[in-house]
Amino acid sequence: MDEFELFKERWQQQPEPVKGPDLAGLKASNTDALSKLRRTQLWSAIALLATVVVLTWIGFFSGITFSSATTYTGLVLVLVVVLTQSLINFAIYRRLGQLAVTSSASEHLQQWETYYSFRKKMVRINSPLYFIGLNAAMGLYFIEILGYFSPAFIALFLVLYLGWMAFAYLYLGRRALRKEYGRIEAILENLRRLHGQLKEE
Amino acid sequence: MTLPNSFDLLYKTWHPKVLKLCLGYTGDYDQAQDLVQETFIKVWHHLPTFRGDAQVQTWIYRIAVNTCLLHLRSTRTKPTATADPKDIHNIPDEQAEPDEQIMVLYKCISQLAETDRIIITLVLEDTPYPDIAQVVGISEGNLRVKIHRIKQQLTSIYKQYGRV
Repeated sequence: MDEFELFKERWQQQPEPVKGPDLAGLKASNTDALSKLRRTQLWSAIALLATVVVLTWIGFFSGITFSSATTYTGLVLVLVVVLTQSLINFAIYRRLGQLAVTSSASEHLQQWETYYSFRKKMVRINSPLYFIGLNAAMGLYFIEILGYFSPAFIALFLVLYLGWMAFAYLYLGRRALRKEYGRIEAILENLRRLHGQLKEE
Repeated sequence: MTLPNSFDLLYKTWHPKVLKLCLGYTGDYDQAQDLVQETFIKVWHHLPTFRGDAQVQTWIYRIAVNTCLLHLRSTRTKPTATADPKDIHNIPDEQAEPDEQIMVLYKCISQLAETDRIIITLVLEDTPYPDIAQVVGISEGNLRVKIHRIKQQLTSIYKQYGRV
C-alpha cells in the first residue's frame, strides 16, 4: 500500500465528531458574513431614503417657506444627492444578493473579485463625489438661512462648518478611504491568490 | 442521492464531513466550528432554492468550500500556517482520544496552499474526482494533475514527522 493510501486509511478511521452547534439556534440565526454585508447596505439605503422623506416634508409640506429660489435649489440638490446615494446602496445590496454561494469555488471567487473591484472603484469615485455634492447643495441651502443671523454668527458658523468639513474630508475622510481601500486591496489580493491556485497546472 | 426531507437529517448526515473539511482547512478546531456553523446557516437559507440538479454532496461541499475560502480575515489560513496539535484534541470527546498520527496529518495538511487543503481533504474523504472537480470548478484533467502533485507534497511534508 502506498503512503497516501495509509494516510487515507488513518483519516477515515478517525472518530466522527458528533457534537455540533445548537441546531435550533442555527436555524434562527441570520449571521453569516454575506447576510451581514447585505443588511448594512439595506439599512443604509433605508436610512437615506427616510432622510429624503423627512427633508421633502420639511422643505415642501411643513408650512416652512423660503423666499429664495437658491434655497429650494439647494434643498432639491440635497434630495437628489441623498436619493442617489440611497439607490447606490440598494444596488450594492442587490448585487451582493447575486453572489451565488452554491456555485463552484472558482466561479464564486471570480464573483467576489468582480464585486470587490467594483467596490474599489466605488470607494475612489462615489465617496468623494457624495461628500462634494452634499456640501455644495448645503452651501446653497445655507445662503438664505444664514441671512437671518448676525454677521458675527455667520462668520463663526462658517469657520466652524468649513473647518469641520475640511477636517472631515482632508483628514478623517482620507484616512477612512485609505483604510477601506487597503482593506479591499488586501481582500482582492487574497482572492486573486486563491483563484491563481486553481489555474491549470 | 436526493435531498433529504428535513434540514435536521441533512445536518446530522453532513455535519461530521463538513467539520473534517473545515478542520483540514483551518487546522484549528474553534475556527473550524465557526466555519461549519456559517456553512449550515447558508445551507438552511438556501435549502428552498436547491433544485436537485446537483447532488446533495456537491451542493453542500460547494457551500462549505466557498465559506472556507472566503474566510479571509484570519492570517492563520495562510499556507505557512501550521495546525496546533492541541486544537485537534478539542474534538468532542465522548469519542476515542484522537490519534497522534491524525494530528500530524492535520498539521501536514495545514502547510499546503488553501485550495490544495480543500482538494486533498475531499480526496481523503473518498469523494469521487468528478464531484471534486465540480465543487472546485476546474477540469477533471487539471484536478488529477493537482492531486498527483498534492499527494507528493503531502508525503514529503509527512516525512518530516516520521512515517505512518
